[in-house]
Parts: sequence; C-alpha cells; structure tokens
Amino acid sequence: MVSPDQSHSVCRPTSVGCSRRHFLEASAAVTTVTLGVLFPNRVFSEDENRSVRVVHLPRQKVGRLSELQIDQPVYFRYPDDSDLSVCMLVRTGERSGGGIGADQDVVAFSCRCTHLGGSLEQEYRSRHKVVGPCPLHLTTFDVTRHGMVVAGHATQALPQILLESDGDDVVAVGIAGLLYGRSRNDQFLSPV
Amino acid sequence: MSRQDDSVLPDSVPLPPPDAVSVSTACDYCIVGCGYRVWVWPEGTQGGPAAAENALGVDYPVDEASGRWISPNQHGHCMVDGRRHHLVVLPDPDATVVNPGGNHSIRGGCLAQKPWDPEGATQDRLTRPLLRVHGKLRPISWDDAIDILAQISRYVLDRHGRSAWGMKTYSYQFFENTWAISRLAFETIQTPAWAPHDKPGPGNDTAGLDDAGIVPFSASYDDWSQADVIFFSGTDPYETKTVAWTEWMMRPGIRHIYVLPRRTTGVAWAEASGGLFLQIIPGTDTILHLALARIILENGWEDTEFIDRWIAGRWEIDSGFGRGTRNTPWQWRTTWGRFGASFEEYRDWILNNPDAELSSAASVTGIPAKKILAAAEMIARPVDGRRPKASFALEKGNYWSNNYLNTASYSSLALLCGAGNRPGRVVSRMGGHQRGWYGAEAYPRVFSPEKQVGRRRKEIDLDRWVESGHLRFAWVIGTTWTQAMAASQELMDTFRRLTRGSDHQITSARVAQAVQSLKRRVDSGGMVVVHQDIYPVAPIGTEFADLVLPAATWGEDDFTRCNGERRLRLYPKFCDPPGEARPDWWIISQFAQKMGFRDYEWKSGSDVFDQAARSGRRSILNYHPLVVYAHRMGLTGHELLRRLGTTGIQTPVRWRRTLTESQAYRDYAGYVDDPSVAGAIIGTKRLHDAETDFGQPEGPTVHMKWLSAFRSHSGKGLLHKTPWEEFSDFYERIRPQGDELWVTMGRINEIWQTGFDALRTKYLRDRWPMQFVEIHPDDAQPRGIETGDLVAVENRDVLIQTGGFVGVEKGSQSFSGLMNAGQIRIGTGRYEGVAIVTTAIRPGVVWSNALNATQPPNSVVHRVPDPITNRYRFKLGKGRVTRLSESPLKHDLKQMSFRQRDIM
Repeated sequence: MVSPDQSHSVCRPTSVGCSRRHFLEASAAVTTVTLGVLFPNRVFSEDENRSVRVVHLPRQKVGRLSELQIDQPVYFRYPDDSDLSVCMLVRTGERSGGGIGADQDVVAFSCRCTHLGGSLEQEYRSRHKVVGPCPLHLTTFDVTRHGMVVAGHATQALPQILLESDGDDVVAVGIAGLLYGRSRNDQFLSPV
Repeated sequence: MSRQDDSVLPDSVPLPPPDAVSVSTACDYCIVGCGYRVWVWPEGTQGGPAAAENALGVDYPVDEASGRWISPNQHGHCMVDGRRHHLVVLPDPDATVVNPGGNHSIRGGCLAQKPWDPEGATQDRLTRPLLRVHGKLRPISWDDAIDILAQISRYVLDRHGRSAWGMKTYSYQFFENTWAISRLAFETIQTPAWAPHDKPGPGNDTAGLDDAGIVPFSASYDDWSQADVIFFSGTDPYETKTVAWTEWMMRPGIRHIYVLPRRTTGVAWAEASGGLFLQIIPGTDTILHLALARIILENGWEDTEFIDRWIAGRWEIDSGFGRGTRNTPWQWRTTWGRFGASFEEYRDWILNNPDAELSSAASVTGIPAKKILAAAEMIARPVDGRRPKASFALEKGNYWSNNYLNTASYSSLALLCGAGNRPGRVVSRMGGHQRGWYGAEAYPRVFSPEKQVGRRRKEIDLDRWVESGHLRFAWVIGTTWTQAMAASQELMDTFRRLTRGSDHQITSARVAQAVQSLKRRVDSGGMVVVHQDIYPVAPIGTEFADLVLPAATWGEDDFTRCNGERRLRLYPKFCDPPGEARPDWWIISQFAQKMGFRDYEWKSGSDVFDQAARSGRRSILNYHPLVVYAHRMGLTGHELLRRLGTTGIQTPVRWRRTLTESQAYRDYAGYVDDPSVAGAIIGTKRLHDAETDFGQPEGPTVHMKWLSAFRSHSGKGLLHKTPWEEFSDFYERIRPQGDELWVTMGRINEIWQTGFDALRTKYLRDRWPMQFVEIHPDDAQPRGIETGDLVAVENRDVLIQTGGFVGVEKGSQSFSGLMNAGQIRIGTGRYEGVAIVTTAIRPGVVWSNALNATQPPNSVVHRVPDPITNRYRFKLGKGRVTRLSESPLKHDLKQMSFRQRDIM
C-alpha cells in the first residue's frame, strides 16, 4: 500500500490524464469500494467517500534496489507470465517520473510497443534514457518521462509498471496505461 | 457479453459490441491517407473480450501486429442523433493498400479524439454562426448570417469590383467543398483575389517539376518500394508522411539519401542502412543538384538510353507541335532561353559552370565533397553494367527555400538518372495535406492585377494585395491565414488595422445596421473578414472576423478526396456535426442562392460530387467515369465509392470494355467490374507510364498525354538550366549576419498542421506543449542557452515586398530591381519557444515547428516571393536567438521530452 504522498511519486500522467485519483483507480479496482476504506486515513478528505472500481493486480517482487546497476536493465514478466507481459526494470541514474529509490531513478515499463506490439526487450538505449527504436517502425519512448513517445507512432505512452519499495525489495503493484494487446490489464494470459 | 458501461480507466478500453455500427474511411490528416475503420455504439453498452462478444470478432488479448488492439486514444466519444456514443477508430486491419495490416501514424492513430464531444476536449467546436457586435462575438441565425454575407458581398462587388472581394481557403478539405468554393470564386464571381491556405496565390507548388513535364503526384507508393535508392530533398517522410515511409520505403535493400539541415529519425535509419545524410546549409540545394549533375556527366553515368528516348531536344523545346502552349507560364519560363535546354546544351552549360564545380559546391552547401561524390555514385553509377534504380522525392525543404531553381534543378538531375516514368524510378512530391482540390473552373488569371515583364498576367499575391489596401472583403475558410504566411506578425498588424482599427464597427445585431457599418468600413479603406472553420481560431476568427461561420468536417458529412498516390475514397458521415455547423459546400450554396446565382441548389454532398465529376475530366484527379459507371449501376458516385472501402480507386479513373491490366494492377489501383453493367472501371497506378497498355480511350474515358508520356508539349521530359544568379541577389541579402542564425522549420511528426486536433488531445499536447527551438550546442553555449530554457528568436530585418504588381522594365521584378525601386520595406518579427540543444541540427541553424500558430516562426520569414513563381521562401528565415528564462518544462517530468529524435 502507498501513502497519498508516495502515490504522487509512483503515479504517472497517462494519456488520459493523471491525478492521484486516477492512480488510485488504476492501481486499485474489480470490486467497488470507497477510497476511505481502501486507504484508511491516507486520502484527502474530499475523496473519503469516493467509490472506485478496484482491479486487483498482483504484487510481485521484481528486483532488489541494492542490486540494480545504473543503465543495466533487468527483465521480468508482469502481471502474468505471457510473451506480451515482458517488462523492464531499470535504474536510469537520473530523476525519473514515477521513479523510486533514494534518487527516484528506478522505473519499470512494459516491453511491448504501443504502436503495433513490437518487442522492446533489449532496446534500452542508456545514453539517451529511451526505449527503442522499436524494431518494427522505430518508435522511441522516454523512460524518464513516464514512457512518453519521443518520436514515432504509438498512440499511448509505454505502460509504466507502478513500483513500491519494501525494504530493499522492488515490488510491482500495478500498471498505469493499457498493456498492448489487451482491452483491460486484468485479462490474464496465464496464471501468475 | 458484458453489458455494463464502465467509466473508462486509463488501463482499459470498452470494446465495440457486435452490433456496433461500422464504417470504413480514411485518415483526415496527412497526404498518405491511411485506411481506417470506425465503430460507433451508444453509451451504456460494450462488447466483451471473446470473439463472439465484440465487433472485431477476435479474442482479447490480441497478439503482436494483429492490427486489432485498441489503445485508450483510439477510443473516444461522439454524438449520433443527439445521443452520446462510444467511438473506436482503428487503422483498417484488413487494408491491402496504403497501410496494409493496419499500420498507422501517431496522428491518425488518435483520430478517435477528433469528433465533437460536448463533454470532452472538443467541446469548444463552433456550433452557431457568430457576429461581432461591440467587439464581442454573439450567436445569430444562419438566415441573418447569410443575409449579411450576401449584402456586404453585393455591395463590395458593385462598388469596389471583383478584385476587392476575395477568398483565402484551404485547398484540400474534400472535393465537395473545394468544388463549391472554386465554382463560386472562379466561375460565378470570377475574382482573381483568391489564394490557397499555404501560399500567397494560386498556381504550381513545384513549377520546376511541372515545367520538366513531371506531374508532382505521378508515382504510387508501390513504385517507391521498387527503388534501389531514394533521394529525399527537403523532407523526411518519417515525420509527416509516416506510413508511406515505414510501409513502402523503410525496406531492406533500399538506400536513402537525405538532404536536410536537420538529422531526423529517417536520416538516422538511412545512415544505419547504407544511406547518406547531406546536411545542407539552408537555401543551397540548387548548387548541390548542379554539382551532382556535373559529376554524373563528367563520368558518363547519365542514363543515355532514357535520355535518347525521353528528353526533349531543341526543336521540341522551341517548336513543339504548334502555338497552343505559347502563352502559358510553362512557355514563359522555358523559352526564355536562360532555362530550357536540350541534353547537349544542358551538359555544356553544367560542364562550364563554375557553380557546379565540386569544391565550390562543397563550400557553398556545407556538404563535404566526398559525400556529394558518394551521393552521385549511389544514384547514378552503374555497377557491373547495371544502373541503380533511383527515385527522387521532394517536399517543402526543397521548394519552399528556392522555389523555381530548386525544383527545376532537381528535376533535371532526376531525368539525367533516368527517373520519372518507371517503377522504382519515379519523381514525385511526398506531399503535405491530401489532394482535395477539385476545381470547377480555372483561376481567372485574366483579371489578376499581376503581370510579368513582357508576358501576360500571372496569379495574384494576395497578401501584398491586402497590405496594399485593395482587398475590402475576405472570406477565410479553414486556415489561420496570418500565421501560415510569411512575416506573420506584420501581416497580423495589417489585418488588425484594416478590421478592428477601423472606425466602423458593428454595434447592432440587426442585419440592416450591421451591413451599414460594414459598408462604411469598406468605403473608408477597411476590410470585412468572415471566418469559416471548425474551431475559434486566433486571431483570424477570434479577433479579426466580423462574422464567424461554423463548419462541419470529417465524419460529419459524406466527403471524398485523394491521397498522395491519387487514391480516391469516401470519408463517410458517422456522427453529428456540432449544433448548427454545416459542411462548407452547404454554406457556399446558401450564400450563392441568396446572391441569386444559378445552379447552387445541392441537396447533399453526393449531389455535389456527381455534378462536379465533369469538371475534372482533363485532370489527374478525374473520377468522371466512376460517376457514369455508378449511375449505370443505379448508384450515386458516393455509393459506389462506399463499396470500394479503404482501397478506393486511383485517379484518373478509366472505363474500359475489357480490362487488360493484370490482377495485381487491378487490386492495387482499384476497379469495379460489375456483371450487370457493360465494361469496367479501373484506377491508374502510375502516370507517365509507357509500359502499361491503356488501350484506346473508351466510353467516358479521357486519355491525357501525361497518362503514358510526360506532361509537356512533346510528351518528353524537359531539362532546365538553373542559373544561380536568378537567386543569388536575394540569398546574399538574407544570409544571417553577425550573431544571427538561419531560422528554418518544418512539420513535426506528432502534430498535424496547427494542432487544431492534436493540441486538444492531452496525450499529444503533453508531448509538445509549446513551440520549440532546436539549436546546436555550438550556438547554444555562447548564448548561455540550455535545453529547457525559454528563448526568443527575433528578426529586425524582415524584408517585405510592397509593390511590383505590374512589371514593365526588364529586371524590375527581380529582387535587386525591387530594392532599387524602393519596393522592399523592412519589418520585424519575433517568436518564442523552449530550447532543445541538440547536435541533430546543423550549426548556424535553428529549427522550429513551422505550423505552431501561437508562436509562428513565419514571423521571422521574409515576405518576398520568388519572382518567377510567387512562392515564399518560408524555410529561409533568420534571427537572433536569446535566452529569456528557464521554462517550467525544464524540470517537468510529465510534459515534453527533450530526448534526441535521431536515435538508432
């Protein structure tokens, strides 16, 4: 769980607008609950009774802060184990939107291009802090700015995996943005 | 099936249910015009992820490159019969042409955000006619609006003449509208005071290409894909003709050469794929072309077989087949002797021209000699006896820096290499907007106030006409006008003075009183402005216009037009226009009827389309045989086009008794062979095509010479000498001095035109929240500029031509002649943007988004058109760049990426 203050640091402005509320919706919802119940004593008073749909995405340990080397991405699958679920965790070495860790530079993204689904695995360019160019049509994404398109054709930023730290553990807790191929992020392709 | 309507989360999209209404259409934006599919269904329902539960008939999740994934920006809302509906707009996954399999750009990919949604970001669409009363726009009825429009028009035409009544309109927003506009302006009113959105007057964009006999849109996308090498001049199609590039040009085995001052994504790909980047000093392309031609001729790499067969000799240049084309712009230019040349004359001229020497050209263009040499080898040197198949693509970086000389020298270079009329060996513009002009009548040049020395009249420069105080009424349709033209701020000042600066303003919404105020204004030298558009546009609509008329657009009525390979398709209605907004053809028809003009009583866009067909029978966009065929099938032209979906049919459309074209040709060009109707109709894949058997013209088919030969007198291509002196006086005068830098500009991939749609889409606005100025580190550092800083670009030396409408003495209309005659004044211009310090741009040059309407870089561009063609040198601005402050974007992680765009 995150505090409202932390929620800002893991929230990303998505293509449809970012607010703390959006983050809560995105990382929360399938049952309908009030924010006050979901995050007791940790929401702004005007949001206490707001209802949200909660999509339960799994919490998954994806790395250890102490083991992450700058510009050395590690790959994991989230929220399930399919080919479309490959994600990248990277310490960029500079303050990054949604970054965690002492320097707010640890971020994670889906590795499927949001243009036509090309694989971006191994396409991190450390010098530029971008993912891409996608091998299909050359789209690039800025990993320090919430996966925003630098140049190219994708109609959505690269989905950002919401991270929390639990001691030294880096934990994936949700996704901001829609993963390529799905109409909802909780369309699991195989059991996790 | 899930039937609950969820509030849309950032991480999901509703799927169209199986009963969603589905239509096929094409993109509203760039020239490529990818095929799209639209699904519309009422709010409160949605489909499910199983194939049987959704209209796409697939199980979600879908796999890579399925073409059936719906991103959140591909879902939006629109109104249908007054009720809010869901809307999904996807590239047509079943497309077989243009964008096979559903490839798309970021612009078209966000089309679902375009339609009017009264609860969304498009809620500020114009919904009612507005009249400026006491300085404020307030709603009036259509009847009153048309009444005022007609009364003041009648008055201006009667009192001040047809040249005082003008229009500035888009040239591309659908055949139905442009045909209505041209019918009104050119056939009925016959005003010479008309200009398209992107230039000061009508006429050729790329006159040098036309004079060479090459139709600027003669090639098909498939023709490019068969090249060994493509020479790109002044364009990286990756940026804004995206799918033509990613689908048809970015292929293994095709080497690209780019001539640009700025390294782009396409350039980076080219360099990584065996191609070349010639990073040119703005404005020097002609010299480069001459140097390349000289290297080719010195080495004997020209395509002799092609030249012998296809290049006009001296007799063909001089005499042709009679006097028919004597008094045309083509003849004025080519028979001056200075330009037109046989192959032998051209070769002698080049080999004796010091401007064409490699070392000199390297110095003028700033391109290393070895790269120029390598480019010449790549496009022309035979390897093992085989000539490379070279194609030539150009766009505004070429023809908007030195219009005539660049396009003419480029054409000559291409023809020497054997390009122009064969697959893999084509010459064409890549294009900007789609080809949507369907002229009802030719521009009435005989009434134009402009005249070349010793020649007959030429097309008007409407901006100069306004500045000179001759225009009293301006009907502006679908353009910003001032920001799109050169010396923008100076032009805005003129508009302000002639409209809001007048003593005569409307103080009553009553028609008679409003018209009286406007009459007083035009009689006192002021101007009435009417702006017709889809949004309030600053400042032409929000500040200058007295009357604002709301237009319907893409998806709100049935429209048609062609893409960059002349592919004609229907863009059907699928949602409501906002409020009382109407298609432009309807507004024209109401006005014309009020004026008492005959034959404007169209009931629908389909009526207009069918009636317009005859006007284009000699045009490359001719679709008349399609309408004839449709009528024989018992259909309207629109109905038949609807059946042709995203494939459509490539113009000119031909009717044939029996098709002899191969099945592959038919499938690509589009055809209809209906067993109930005699014969068939088929599209035309490539112009100047001597290889395809077109047979004899049959039925309503018209065969123009350019179908199977070049568009010239003799059917042959024409070489042109392009003496640098025609341009050098102007060029020397405008070169940056002291700490000035070249200011050049272009489109940026993520934004279409001024961003009228894109900047209302949060996703795209976050990418480019404001104007930007790319500057090289060598130029940034001494000015203390860092990426993310706000900078100003200021030119206190903006040259503006004030007169010279009629040329009498030889040389009086050249730049030097105008200077000597005191017909150039000096103005100022300035714009701001956020700095991006990057090695992608050439030192000494800054680059901005050409079409940013809030901070238009055209403000620092000289308003002195090419005297040969009346075209501005938009790409050759200059200015001093100074740091103002740190912009808020510098440390903002949510908006604007400053990363390089040429990463490979």
